[in-house]
Amino acid sequence: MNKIVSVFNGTRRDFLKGTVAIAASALAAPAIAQSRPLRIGFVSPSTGPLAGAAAGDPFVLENLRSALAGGITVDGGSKRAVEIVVRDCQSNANRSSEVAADLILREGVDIMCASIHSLTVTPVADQCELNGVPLVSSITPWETQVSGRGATPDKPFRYQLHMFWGFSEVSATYMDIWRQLKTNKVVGALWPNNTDGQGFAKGFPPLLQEQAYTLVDPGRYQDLTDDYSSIIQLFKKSGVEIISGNVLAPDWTTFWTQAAQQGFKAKAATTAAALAFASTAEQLGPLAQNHSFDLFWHPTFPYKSSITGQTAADYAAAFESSTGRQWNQIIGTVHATLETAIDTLKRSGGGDREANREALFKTNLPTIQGPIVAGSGPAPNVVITPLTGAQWRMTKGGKHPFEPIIVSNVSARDVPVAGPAEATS
Amino acid sequence: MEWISTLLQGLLLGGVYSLFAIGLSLVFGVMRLVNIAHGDLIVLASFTSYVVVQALGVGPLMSLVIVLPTFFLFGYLVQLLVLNRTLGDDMLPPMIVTFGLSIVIQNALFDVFTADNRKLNLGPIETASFRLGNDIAIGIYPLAVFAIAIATIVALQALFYNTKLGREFRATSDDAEAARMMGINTKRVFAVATGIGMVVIAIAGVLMGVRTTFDPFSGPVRLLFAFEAVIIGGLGSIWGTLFGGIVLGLAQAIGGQIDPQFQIMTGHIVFLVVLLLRPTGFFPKVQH
Repeated sequence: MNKIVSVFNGTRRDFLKGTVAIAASALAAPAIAQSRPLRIGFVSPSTGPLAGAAAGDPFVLENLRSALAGGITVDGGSKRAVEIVVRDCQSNANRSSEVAADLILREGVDIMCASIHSLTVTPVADQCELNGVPLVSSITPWETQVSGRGATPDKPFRYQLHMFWGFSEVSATYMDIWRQLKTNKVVGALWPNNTDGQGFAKGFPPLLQEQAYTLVDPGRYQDLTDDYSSIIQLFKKSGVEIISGNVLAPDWTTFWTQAAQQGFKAKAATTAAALAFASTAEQLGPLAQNHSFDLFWHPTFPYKSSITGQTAADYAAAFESSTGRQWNQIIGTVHATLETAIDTLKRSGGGDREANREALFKTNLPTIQGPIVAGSGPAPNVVITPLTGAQWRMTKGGKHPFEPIIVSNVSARDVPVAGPAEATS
Repeated sequence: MEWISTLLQGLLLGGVYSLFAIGLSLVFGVMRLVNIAHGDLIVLASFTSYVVVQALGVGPLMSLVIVLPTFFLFGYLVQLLVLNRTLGDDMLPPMIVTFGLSIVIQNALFDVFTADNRKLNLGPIETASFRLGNDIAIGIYPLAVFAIAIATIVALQALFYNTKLGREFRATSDDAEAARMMGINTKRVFAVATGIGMVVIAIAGVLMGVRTTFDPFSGPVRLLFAFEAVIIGGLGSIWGTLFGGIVLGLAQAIGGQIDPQFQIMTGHIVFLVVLLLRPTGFFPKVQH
């Protein structure tokens, strides 16, 4: 389970060659041979229910590993090798906490990265705060990392820099999609009884009200419910034309199929989570057409990596040619968290965790995800990254059966819109 | 009208739960084997059908032609080569073996298929329905699943009560020791029973795969509802399983109508109440 992705993990012969090379260059450049490698802890759900989201990790790490093979030049001009120490949190909060503690206490990492869902990020952030290790985190709305973990304006978290978007971005994006569809502004909510669903149920209604939307919220249903007929009846009765929710893929499928059976049609179906990946849209086939969702990275994002120099389009293409799979939005964001961590180490000189913390909170870096400027967000330890709204469209004879088409950029002004939103039915 | 519609949907959901539960009930009834891997086997069947569909370009229903015999053979062999060695007076060892099987299946599927969601596609029939009056619509597919659940039960009932094999099943179920003395090869009976159980599991798996998406970790939650249906209906009783599934489906529908938050919980509560008042379920066939 525990993989060490090291810059020196070739064969024994490579290792010997490397040793010889290092020995030979030792006189010329003593730094690399003498100083220990800088270590980045990386926690991600490689297995378990969230594993689908983390499926691009091996590519992200491989790509960075080859770019970092020569080490990095830290502040002061010396070369340092970089190791990324990977731990699988198994999509489990307890396990996340355990592996984070292990990375901090046993592996002695200099800085940490954690992404994908609050189940992964929150426990890692707690461990980092407790042990004074700087953390770059992403892919969970920033509120889950600030108010969700009990930070207050006078007592912000000191070690975590969270780069993602929040409710105001996602709600603005959703409403921009709905605005294009000329609806009666009646929204049916599918918010399940889990942390994300409860978060949406708390954060979303006031924002909807501000924009004169009527909300029909049936209450917190349980994940993996097999029958949605009572909710569908309520939506039908209330004249719902927009469905919005934070739904698991199997639940969305059950709901949407049953809605069709019951003769309920909506103009907009906008969800977080359910159809975040093309592979799921493909499995649903026509049921996924024009389904809209929050898309936080796309090959048309006009940014490039500070480490490999790849543009977003290059990076997605490299992913596809290396894995044979369609690109997904997670890879760009995960790459950017590691970019931020590496940039921090470069500027801090990799001295100690406190120096890394200070450097992290002075970050001003253009990444493949967009500019990361510490201190620019709504909370001291939050940086807002671009978020677009997209719809799944079936392609006719394209490379992939489904492509996400960006239809809204109200929360990502640099990113071009590919076309107007279309109704689901 | 709303309530009638809700109850009808609950009834149809009951068909789904019974179908999940029949295989579990059958295997328990004949050899007192609590199959923890039941949910994962259902998912394995969905994946097997997925592979057949992808490889041969046939529909999920046609894939049954290959999936059902494969699962029969698989069940027969697993029972003969693995589970039979652990069956005895103690129920625990075979249960632990199936627990291991469950983990093996989940991780093997994850290794081969990754965690991506998959679905079996049946085309427009999935969303088709017919109307009864103005307010009630009945999905063709849920109705078909319900009918298949009943047909499966009728077929198993016929097998149990009208064939020599069925007599052997019943004899072995009543007293395996005595059945052996009468010249019944109980090991073979067990293997055939598991094989048939697997056939039912395969039907459930394919129908579930059409109903919604699945991934390698979708199994355990199926096991839970199957268990509840079996226990409400009465251990080892095939018709009881249908009854248990329907009770569970109706309970959920009623709970959901009150508040979606209570939907699944109401099912669990009804299960607990039945367990308290009638620990053996409504139509128990086997005493233990």
